[in-house]
Amino acid sequence: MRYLINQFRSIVAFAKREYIIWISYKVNILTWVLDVFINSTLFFMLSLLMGKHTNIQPYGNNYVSFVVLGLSAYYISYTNLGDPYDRVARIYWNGTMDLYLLSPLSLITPIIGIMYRSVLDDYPRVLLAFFFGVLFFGARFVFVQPLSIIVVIILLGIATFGIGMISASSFFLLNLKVGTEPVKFIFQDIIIALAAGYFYPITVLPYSLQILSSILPHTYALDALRRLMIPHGNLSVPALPLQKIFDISPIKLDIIVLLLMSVVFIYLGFFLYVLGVERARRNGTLTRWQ
Amino acid sequence: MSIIELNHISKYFGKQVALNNVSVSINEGEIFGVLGKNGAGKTTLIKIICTLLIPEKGEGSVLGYDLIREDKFIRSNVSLVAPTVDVGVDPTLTVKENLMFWAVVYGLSGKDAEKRVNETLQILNLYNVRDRWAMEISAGMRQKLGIGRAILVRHPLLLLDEPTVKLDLESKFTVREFIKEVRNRFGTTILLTTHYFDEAEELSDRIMIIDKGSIVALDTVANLKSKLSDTEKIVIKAKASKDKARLILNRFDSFSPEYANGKFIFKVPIFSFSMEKILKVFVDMDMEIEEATDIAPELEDIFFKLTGGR
Repeated sequence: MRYLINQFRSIVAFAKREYIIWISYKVNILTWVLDVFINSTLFFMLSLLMGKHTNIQPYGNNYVSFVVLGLSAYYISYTNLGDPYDRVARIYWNGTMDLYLLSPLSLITPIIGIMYRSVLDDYPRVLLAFFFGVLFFGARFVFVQPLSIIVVIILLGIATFGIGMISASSFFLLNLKVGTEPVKFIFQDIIIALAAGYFYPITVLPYSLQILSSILPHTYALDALRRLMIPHGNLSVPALPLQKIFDISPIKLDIIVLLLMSVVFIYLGFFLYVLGVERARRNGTLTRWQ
Repeated sequence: MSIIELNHISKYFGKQVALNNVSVSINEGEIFGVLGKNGAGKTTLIKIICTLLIPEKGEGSVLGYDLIREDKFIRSNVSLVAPTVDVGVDPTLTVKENLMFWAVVYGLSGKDAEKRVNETLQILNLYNVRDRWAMEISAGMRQKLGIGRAILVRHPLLLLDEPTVKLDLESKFTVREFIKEVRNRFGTTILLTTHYFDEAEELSDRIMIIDKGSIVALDTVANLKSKLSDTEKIVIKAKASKDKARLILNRFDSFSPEYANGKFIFKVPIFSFSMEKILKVFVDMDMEIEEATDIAPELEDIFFKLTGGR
């Protein structure tokens, strides 16, 4: 118990430190607000243009709401999936990896702790996307089964973080310290870019890409969130390949699959990361300090 | 009591031998210096001791924990200062914020953390700059801050890998004084690697000289000098005519004598008690002696004698 309390306290200390650093760059904050505003506006303009011609059933009838939820999943995924590798790289190159390893922290705590910089940077974009969407572009939301919504968001966060940890493990496991990281590239730049359905429903994709999208937690999270949060969303009509196979409620299936993915990806991520650290302890590549 | 016990430790990186059959025992409260050229194996040794690196062969214990099987316990009870000055010091945090962050990481909290940080700032002589950004203080102060981080928790073992590298003379001096104070105040065992002979000599109770991964000497500085150096210098400042100087040089031909600027220099066998014999000759020749000095061998001479080259 004491161990867990110390880990939690440390994460809070990291959060505080990252916040102090984040707000110390005053110009950055200004550019961040402008960046969110411009990006959001750009996406909403595009969504307005596309909205007239896109069939988004069974996800209600408001395409702007559809895109707001897509953007939100994008921001969460971008941080959780892409950041662990970047954070491991950061503490390796700035030499603090040794110091964290020689402390009572678990192997994962510093990564979660340092991710706060990105959490501070990216997560508020979700709120801003909702804010701009509702205020300027006509997005509307309902909150059917609020508990399910919360569970889905949490599971999306956990599953994408699990993939992020798999990506981070390649830093030591494959000794990939510079250049493109393959796990992140395959998931983020290929599969997610093609098949995550941020800005269009999966149902408009060719069947092969729909199958590919089945391995992404985003697919199930967005399916559930859009059914539950967009006005007139349908809770019973199947849309995803897996939902057409199993005869249970799409929302339930989404949650079950997300739960399974969370467990598998988190376990794999942690297992591979620990394995990578142990390998690096053997071959002398654990720390930059030589 | 032995804090570090290594038996026949070897480490290879491919075909390169980083450490070769190293056995050493380091006592509680000792400052143990490790001297070696670049690539000699000093950092590999430190990494193995703090379990960031696993040896291929050998066994050992650190703080009573098994080096291989109880590595996690060792890691959470050892403090390390790596050679880069700024490691662990965030430039955009104040001096105090930096230490407060690490205090929590090391398991201190609330008033305990605050008290320990203030105490450490006092010891470091950094209390007056506690609210300044770390980027605004000197490199020497930042290095002290790095060592301060390492002593926030009173771990019994402190590993210092070239702690004064890249520092100016004044900063070097303050860091060295601080290292002595840490040992004297908290009884911390300190393992120190360095390239500076004067630093090793000034700080270390014992010195290990390591070359190509193997230990080539291990003893106190005095013993190393007496065991490993076969000559010492005798310098005599005396007024002498050219004839008398020539006579003296001929008389002590076996001591490789030199004469320049009114000074005679003789290289005599160590502990041969040659000073009296030489002075007697000067006196017998009615020469006025202004000064006579016996210069002990330098650690540097011993190091290069053992490791080859200069």
